[in-house]
Amino acid sequence: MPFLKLCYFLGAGAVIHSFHEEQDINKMGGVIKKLPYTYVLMLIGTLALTGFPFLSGFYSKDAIIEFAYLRGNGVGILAAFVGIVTALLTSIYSWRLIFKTFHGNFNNKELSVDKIHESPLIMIAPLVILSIGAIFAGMAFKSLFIGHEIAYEFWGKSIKFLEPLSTDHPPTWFLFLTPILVTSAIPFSYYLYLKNTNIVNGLKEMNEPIYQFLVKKWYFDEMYDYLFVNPSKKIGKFLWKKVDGSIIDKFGPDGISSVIKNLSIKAVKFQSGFIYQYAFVMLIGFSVLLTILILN
Amino acid sequence: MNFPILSSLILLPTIGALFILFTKSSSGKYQSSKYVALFISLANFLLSLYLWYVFDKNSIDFQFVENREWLSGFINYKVGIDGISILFVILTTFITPICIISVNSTIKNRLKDFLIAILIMETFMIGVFCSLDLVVFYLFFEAGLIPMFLIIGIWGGERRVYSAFKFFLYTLLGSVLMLVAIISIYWITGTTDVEKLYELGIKAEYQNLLWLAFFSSFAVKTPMWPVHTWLPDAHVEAPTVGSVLLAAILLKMAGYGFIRFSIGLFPIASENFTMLVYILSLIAIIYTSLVALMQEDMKKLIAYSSVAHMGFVTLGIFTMTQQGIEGSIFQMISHGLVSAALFLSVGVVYERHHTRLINKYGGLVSIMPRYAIVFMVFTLGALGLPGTTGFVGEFLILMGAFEKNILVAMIASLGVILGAAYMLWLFKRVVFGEINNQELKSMKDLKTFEIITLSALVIPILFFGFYPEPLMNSIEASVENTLTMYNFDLINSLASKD
Repeated sequence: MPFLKLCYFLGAGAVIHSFHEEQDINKMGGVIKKLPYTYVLMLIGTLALTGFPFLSGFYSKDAIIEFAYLRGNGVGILAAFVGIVTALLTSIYSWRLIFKTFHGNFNNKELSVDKIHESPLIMIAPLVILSIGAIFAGMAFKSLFIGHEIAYEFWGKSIKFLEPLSTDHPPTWFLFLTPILVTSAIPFSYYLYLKNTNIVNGLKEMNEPIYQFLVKKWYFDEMYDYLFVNPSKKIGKFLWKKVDGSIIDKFGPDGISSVIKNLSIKAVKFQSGFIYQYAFVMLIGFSVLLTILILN
Repeated sequence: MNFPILSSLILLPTIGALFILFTKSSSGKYQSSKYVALFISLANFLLSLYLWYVFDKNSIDFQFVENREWLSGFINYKVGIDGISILFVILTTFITPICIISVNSTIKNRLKDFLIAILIMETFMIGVFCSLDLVVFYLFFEAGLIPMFLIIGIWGGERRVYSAFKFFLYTLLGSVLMLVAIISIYWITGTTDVEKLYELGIKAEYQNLLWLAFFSSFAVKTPMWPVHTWLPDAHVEAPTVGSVLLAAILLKMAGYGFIRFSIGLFPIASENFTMLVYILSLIAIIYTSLVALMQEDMKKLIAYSSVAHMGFVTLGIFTMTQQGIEGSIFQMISHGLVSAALFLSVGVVYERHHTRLINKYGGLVSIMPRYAIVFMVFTLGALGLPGTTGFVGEFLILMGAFEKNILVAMIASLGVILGAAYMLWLFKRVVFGEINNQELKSMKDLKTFEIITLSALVIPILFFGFYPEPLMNSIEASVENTLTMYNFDLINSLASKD
């Protein structure tokens, strides 16, 4: 569902722009009246993204979970279960974003409220178009490629169905499970992040290591730094300073030139200007030559 | 063909240089001499384009051959081109006017002498790519050192004398062995004519030593690991235009030499030493990419990246496959364009801010948006993004390498990743981020002549990246012929052993 993700991202961009390039949602809040259009559009994006009934996210997500459940075997049930849980989590964090960004008190100390301004029309207009898509695309395209006969017809050979699609219907309670969970996440999230932040803060303080682990994105960046980035940098520095500088250059060009220089300094010393030294060298040379001649 | 078009190409810049030599040097800012140089180099570029137009791309023979007596019949002045050399000739004539246009931003004193050096350099470099006699080739190959030595030594940075001597002695030392090899080829076969040598062949027992002698010269010039250390120094100290010439054309002479002489004259030895070249190329690719990652000086970073890119070239040539060699030639042309462009880009900010240290920059995108765009194209070209010339070359080389040795190809592919790492990191640190240095805020975006030179480089990088056919078409027949000769010689030598 391209509409809702685009709507969501561009909405986030508009908010960041309004807050003068601030991205931290902890430094936002309390600006519904300042940013009414952005707020409404973000709200539509959030509703669609969380799979609120009859908006575009609802159809795709539901269809996926439904068909996973209909596989009937363990993996299918597990997949459906994971799908439902993550749909709930998605809903909670998406609403957290809305509540922390727009509701509550204004939390930015560096910026005064007066400076917050609505984005220009050129940023809002595409959002409006996208939000229309986010609302209606699901209903409009639902019958086009989700369903039984239609699916075969629409996808043709571009998707190979390993098994024929199941024609059963999941039990009614299952169909209602996801929408109910997703919708009930709204007041839940409202309570947690706006009304009574003590619970969240308490949880955070109790589980500091886990909190840090999650804030650092499971330490993935650090792991990459540790495994790839830093070793590459270290090796690069070593090769540059030590191998290139201290080995190749020192023994190569610089080494050879300094050897030649030293040799020539020593050779210069032969020319002392004392006749007796020259005569002595001549005498030695003469006697060596003579010895060779006699021995032959 | 009666009109000596190749000799005209070779001599025209020298005539221009002589013309500048005799113009009055006291006049104002030497503008007139600059226009003369520009006119001459553009005329040469048009002449080379005409040459490309009349050149028969399907023929495997050398074309426009001129053969004149020179040393009373022993050694002839013989020039001629095939599909491989013509691309390098055009590259040379294309880069030279760009250098001359960008001269006024970097060269403050003795502009006239500098222009003469560039034009003489052009003569020698075209000579290298055209010569069909080993002695003539050697003369042009070595003579090219002199103007470059002067360019680094006179107009260079602080450590220019050290770098100029290092560059000169390093390359001369390698080349002396090549001279010895050429003399011994003359005594073995009685000729130094390349075409005749292709027909005669050189006896297998001599090939290994001769190959090594040629290799020592080309390896220094390429440069291959471990004889690459002159390049970063030379680049850092050379003025912008000097770096451009050095990276874009001087380094290509060795790659060209490998194809024309190492493979063409010594096929059996080339086969014997393939593994050596593979290993040195792989070390060059990985080693210098890692070193480039850590550089603090922009020019040094690009210099090291040149070594890595030339590692791909040598790897591709010695895969002895159609794709590998075509890819190497393409990579050389691509690197000629991209590295020239990168050095010019560094020159742009250096001229404004007088430092090349990466950490002094940052956030240029909001001060110099046009510059950010062209620099991004060049960065992407250097890391081989599909749609730029860099991709076509690297891809073909890796394809050729996969055919011969999967392990080699896999290690070489690592170099592509590292290449992306150091280039993108450079771009990020220079162009993006916060403006920490307040002095940067007064920097002006590209001037008109910079837009002309840089966009002149953007166009071929993108055009041939999307549509490499014109270049490939030109080299295809010649590469095929080189490989046929190579395989024929190999089979013959195997047969004679049995």
